[in-house]
Amino acid sequence: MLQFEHDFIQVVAKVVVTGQKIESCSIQDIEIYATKVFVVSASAQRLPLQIDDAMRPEADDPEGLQIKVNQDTRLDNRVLDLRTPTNQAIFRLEAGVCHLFREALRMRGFTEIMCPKLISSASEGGANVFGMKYFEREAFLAQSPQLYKQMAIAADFGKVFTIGPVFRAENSNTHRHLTEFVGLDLEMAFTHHYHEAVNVIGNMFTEIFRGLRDNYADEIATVNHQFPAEPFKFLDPPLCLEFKEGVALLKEAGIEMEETEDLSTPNEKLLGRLVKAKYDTDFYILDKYPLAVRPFYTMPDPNNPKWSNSYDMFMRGEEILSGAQRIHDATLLVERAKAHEIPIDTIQSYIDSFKYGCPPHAGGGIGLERVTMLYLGLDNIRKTSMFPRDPKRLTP
Amino acid sequence: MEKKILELTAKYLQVGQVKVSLDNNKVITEIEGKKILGFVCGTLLMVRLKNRRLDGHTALEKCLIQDWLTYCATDLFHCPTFETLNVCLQYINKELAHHSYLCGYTLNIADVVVFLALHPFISNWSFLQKEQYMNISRWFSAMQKDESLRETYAPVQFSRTLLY
Repeated sequence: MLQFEHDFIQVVAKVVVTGQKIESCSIQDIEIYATKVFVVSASAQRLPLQIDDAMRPEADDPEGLQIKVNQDTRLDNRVLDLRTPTNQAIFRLEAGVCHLFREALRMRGFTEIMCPKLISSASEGGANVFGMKYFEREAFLAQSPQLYKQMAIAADFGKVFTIGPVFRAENSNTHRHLTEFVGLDLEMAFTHHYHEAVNVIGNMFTEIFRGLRDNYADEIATVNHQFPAEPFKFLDPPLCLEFKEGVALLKEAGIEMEETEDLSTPNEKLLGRLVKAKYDTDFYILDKYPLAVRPFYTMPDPNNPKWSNSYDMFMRGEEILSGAQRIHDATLLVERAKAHEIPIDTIQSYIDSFKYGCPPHAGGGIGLERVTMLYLGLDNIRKTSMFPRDPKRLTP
Repeated sequence: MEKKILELTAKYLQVGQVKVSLDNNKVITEIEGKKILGFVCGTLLMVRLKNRRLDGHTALEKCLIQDWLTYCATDLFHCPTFETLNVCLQYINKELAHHSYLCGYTLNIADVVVFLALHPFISNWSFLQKEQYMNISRWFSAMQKDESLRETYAPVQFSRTLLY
């Protein structure tokens, strides 16, 4: 008897209520008595991986088998791997994140814009961009839609957001870096203080987390069955600490660091743990970073030039958003660029966009895959990217 | 390793003129003219000369002290890899689960010797490791409060809230 495990079939059947509950199925009350079965699309007999093995929990397997499918095998045969219930749940939840992001911002009066990805000059930090031939000249793939978001604000759109691919040519083979990922970026002009933007972003996150918790509970449970994790905790309104307070928390725990030093990754993770222990939240905002560690277009704090009007947001101890109030005055921008020793001719078009007046604005960008990975407590970003791209992988 | 620990113990007990030398892998302690062979006997000699209180009050305690000092000399000081050291640490962690100190409920020389041996390792532990060996962390934190130890060794930070 041949086994047809992965054919697509069409069944004509009678649906009958069962006398006893069928414990081994997900639908327990009803059965189907098939009268006709058609094979719509047949599958090859030998499969490179078994779906049962791909969906087995890695620890505490109820059947006691310690079978694991290697990540590379999964990614090479992504079409089969994506059929597991866990992967179906992960990507439906990722779609939910995107949907909730759009809804939360649309309700606050944001306009969605589409930014070009083919650009003529590397926007921030020329080392990490992909270059290519563009007819007779050179072009690059956009590292972030930063410049275009700001130009839209200067074009009097007020509040904008954009969802699109982001390309980073970083040769980092880590569990949380991809060369291509989906960026959810937003920028808004504010009236009095950049905290208006911080509150909008913070409340948007709270709405996303609440929406996922309430509407995608089944998907979260399915993922937790194979990849157990603690449920994601957040506060409403979101917790906002100043950078100084974060450094004080770390110093109390015995870490030696300067007040104006950037947080290294182990310190970020420890700070995440300390905040979780103290405030019981996995999501928090760190405000007022030191000016020295931020890019040249960050607005300095008007009261104290040591600090800047910039902020980072963290989920489960890992950074997901880096944002700031941007400098909207061309003269100040040139001054800050000179202080960072950036040649002005490479950013001339950027400076020119502020020549015709621009309201003060702030914003930030998040990575869709990273937010999904950290919300579900997964360990590798390739689990949340449908067809991931990294320095070693270009197919499928 | 034994030589170093003996010298540190001598400094802790403020023994004064002590000469520790190695002879064919056997450590010889020379104090006030008397020569004693072996780590356990050398330690006990110094303790009985200087500070009898650390030697234990009951016969059971004295036995346990000798047991722990022998454990140090045979296992703890001769760990070739980190895995074997972890095995020793798990044993010590289990033993400390039901006692405040190694031999019961009072401080004695066995605690001091194990403290001196483990201090350079524990001062480099991350918070995750300190939480994995919870009993050792609790014991170490109590040991650090002793006056003479506090003067000579930099205190190690422990977190009282569970972080992991």
